[in-house]
Amino acid sequence: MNSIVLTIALVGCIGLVGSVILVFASKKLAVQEDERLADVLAILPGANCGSCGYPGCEGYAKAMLAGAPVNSCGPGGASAAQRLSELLGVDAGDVVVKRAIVACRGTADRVVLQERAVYHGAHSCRIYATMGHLSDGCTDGCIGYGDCMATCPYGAISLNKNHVAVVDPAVCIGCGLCTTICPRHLISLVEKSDVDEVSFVLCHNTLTGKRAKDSCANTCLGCRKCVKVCPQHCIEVVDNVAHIDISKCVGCKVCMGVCPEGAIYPLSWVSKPA
Amino acid sequence: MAQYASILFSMILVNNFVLVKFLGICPFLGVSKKFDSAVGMGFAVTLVMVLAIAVTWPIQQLLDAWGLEYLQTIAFILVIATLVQLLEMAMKRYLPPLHASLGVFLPLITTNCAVLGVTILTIDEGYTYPQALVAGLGAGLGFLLAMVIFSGVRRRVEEAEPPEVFQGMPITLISAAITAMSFMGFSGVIDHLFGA
Repeated sequence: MNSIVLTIALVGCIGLVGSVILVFASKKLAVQEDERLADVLAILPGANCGSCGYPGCEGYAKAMLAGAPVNSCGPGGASAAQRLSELLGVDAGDVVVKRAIVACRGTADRVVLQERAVYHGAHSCRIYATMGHLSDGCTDGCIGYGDCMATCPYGAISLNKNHVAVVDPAVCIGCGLCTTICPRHLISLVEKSDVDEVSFVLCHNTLTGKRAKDSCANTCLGCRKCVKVCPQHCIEVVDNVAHIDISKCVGCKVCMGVCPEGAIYPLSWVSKPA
Repeated sequence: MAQYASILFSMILVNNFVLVKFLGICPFLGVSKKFDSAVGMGFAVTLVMVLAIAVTWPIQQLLDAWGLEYLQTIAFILVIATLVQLLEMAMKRYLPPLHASLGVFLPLITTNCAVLGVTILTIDEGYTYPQALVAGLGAGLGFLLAMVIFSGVRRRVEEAEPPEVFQGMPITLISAAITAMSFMGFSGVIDHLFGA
């Protein structure tokens, strides 16, 4: 009996002394944390995608408490910006809608696919692209092993039947992770302007004339027909590829009509449910 | 004096807790990637070890007097957990970057077998109170030494770009084994130095 009492007393005493010390220490050593941090984190989606440019949602939350703009969250969109602005009492600002786009449309018989057939290395665009090989075809187009697809945390990228990566605008939140993966730098982030649908050149092929045509049926030839007809003068040809400045594009689609190869395509943003 | 020096150095080199007794391997492998966090972890563990012995040694005398030796483990764990919690609070307050870099390994000192091991082993050795404190300091410094040496080893190994199959944990475990073997060379050194 006595030993039971002693046991309970001893362990109880150690626990009690320890807890008293800890209570005092937690008061004395408490770190001043902004109590709004938890609220801000609750509004953010918690995807830690990095589209805001900060290390994770917590990094962005701390930056906002220090005065960073509240409209940088891609997945949260306008509704998150609105709630954050109410919470923090700052102006919400306009949320920039971004999406990724793969600037290649490819064909089922493009040369890179024939060359891939004799390649026995790892199933990866980045590894394939580091192999030195001569090619008669387009060396700027989509390789089609889907490294970007594996990178996308949201599953927004898929390969179509031509083995070309395609971004689903309804799923893409514009985090930009895929843009750094593509060894051919085909993927870029585009920001929505006032227009809902703009024209976009789905090609990076720097070859010209017959060689370009032989390598891929959907190539931009660099013929400058679109440059001449564009009423906004927002198209220029660099390295035999047309580039459209989509911040100026009004979506008149005149360029699509004159393109002999059909390399220009409409680019749209899908308004996501808030 | 020679006796204390003998205990201190034998704890650091001959009976090194990590590399000879293989206690506390979890933080040894987990936090040794960067030199700064390795040093921070080393000092944190040293502090916890010395404080833990300072508290547990008197408690052990109490346990012996009352015939409650079987309470040793739970009583010691209780003390160590309190100390680690205290250390974590203090570190969060005064050294936030180190707190962030040690991450989950800081609260894990609670269950670090090296800390519980040093408290129990010093009592098994029959050390007096000052001897036990010196042994705790030696064990902590030995842990620090192992962490620092191994963070250097790991940096070299990573720069050497091992084959892909060995990258990460495999090559780390192999180099840990070789580092541990090198410490076998210290056995007997202390006996000859201090004639104990």
